[in-house]
Amino acid sequence: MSYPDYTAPTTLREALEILGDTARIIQVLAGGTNLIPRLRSGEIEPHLLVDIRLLPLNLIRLEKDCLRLGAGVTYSQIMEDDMAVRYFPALVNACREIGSPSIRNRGTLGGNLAACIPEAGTVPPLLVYDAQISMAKGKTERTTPLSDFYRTSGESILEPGELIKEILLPLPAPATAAHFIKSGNRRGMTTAVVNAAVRISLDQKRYIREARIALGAYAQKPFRAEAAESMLVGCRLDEAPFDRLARLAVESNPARTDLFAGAEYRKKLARVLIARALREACTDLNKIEFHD
Amino acid sequence: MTEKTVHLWVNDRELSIAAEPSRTLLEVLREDLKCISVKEGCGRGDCGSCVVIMDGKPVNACLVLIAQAEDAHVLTLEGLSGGTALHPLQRLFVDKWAFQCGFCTPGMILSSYALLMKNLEPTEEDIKEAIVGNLCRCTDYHRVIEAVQEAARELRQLNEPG
Repeated sequence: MSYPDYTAPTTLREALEILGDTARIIQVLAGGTNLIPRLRSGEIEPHLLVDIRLLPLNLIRLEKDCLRLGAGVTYSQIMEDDMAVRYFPALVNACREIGSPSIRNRGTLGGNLAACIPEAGTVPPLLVYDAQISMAKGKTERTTPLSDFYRTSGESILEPGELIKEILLPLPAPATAAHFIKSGNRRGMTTAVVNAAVRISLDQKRYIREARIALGAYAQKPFRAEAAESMLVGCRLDEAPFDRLARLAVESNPARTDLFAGAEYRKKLARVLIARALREACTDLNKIEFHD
Repeated sequence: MTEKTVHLWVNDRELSIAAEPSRTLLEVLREDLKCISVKEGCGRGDCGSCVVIMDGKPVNACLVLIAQAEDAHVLTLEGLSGGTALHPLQRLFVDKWAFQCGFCTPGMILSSYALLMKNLEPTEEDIKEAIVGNLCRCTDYHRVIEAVQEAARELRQLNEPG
């Protein structure tokens, strides 16, 4: 393999300046868990690696109405963060299911998103929490809903020279429950066959005010099943047609076939997981006491 | 391209090493520093044979570029024993027959060590989770779990006051 140059800028401005150089093939290096094997196998041959570990992107900050996660935050950091555990348990559970402790100590949230792999575990929970993603390029910044980050092909909208800065998660309303389930061919250290995440928020009268259903590892990109979501709105928990909605949700995108599972199996599995996740969320919501 | 001088500590020894920045920590540990307890299995983070402790946390040395280890404190199995006396984990892996070929053992021990640094009363589930990324193809994981439980017991006693 050929050896690329390496630099570790200490400010965002410096990093963006370096990334703006279009004459060379430049690769951002975050945790490296996905990148380094591809580098070593020769799959990618950048001229320069820009290591972002010294940038101030490795913090989790609670603001008035949202939690801001720097792109360089590791899965372990998210799992250990009190605010993430308190407000975003489905995301924390998704991080727990990724690889092994040694992978989770290195892999980063921004890397998980930028890798553009269908089975990226953090994406479905981020989608159900209505995450926004902020990116910087040169002197400009933009923020979009994470649901607009991936094209149908599975590629992201990240432009050359553009860097993911942070993920913004609006704090959920009080009567909210979210649930994440990963299913692979075994329990530990495994690639997901289907990742399912759901969120249900209730109004004061215990009717469903907002619902989110997201699937990962299922199609070319993780996606939200919006038709099924909207049918949940206005339902009471005990009369919500979860099985029918799960069936509808898996129809919104064609399932893919890969080494680990065929499309038919994925479809059946996704249906079961969505219905199960919705029921788990219900169980949590039924425990919440309402004060009128 | 150009070599870079990387400053780090390996097993409490302070070092400055000239190396291609994109060589892996695994390569430098084995080839330059002769820490050959660190094994290369898959070379892509799937097998855990190259797990070392970096700044107090287990990492796969095949997934860290040497330049990313600047100023880091790295612990390999060579640094765990402290002279000739085996660390309780090492001794109990021997006593409990927790390995056969031994290729996975350094990584297995260091993943377990990372667990015991945080938790001296691990449940079986905790131990399984700690070594989930360490593949062993010839012994059985039960003996590893027994060895770690027994080591935790010994270390708890050492830590007790009086």
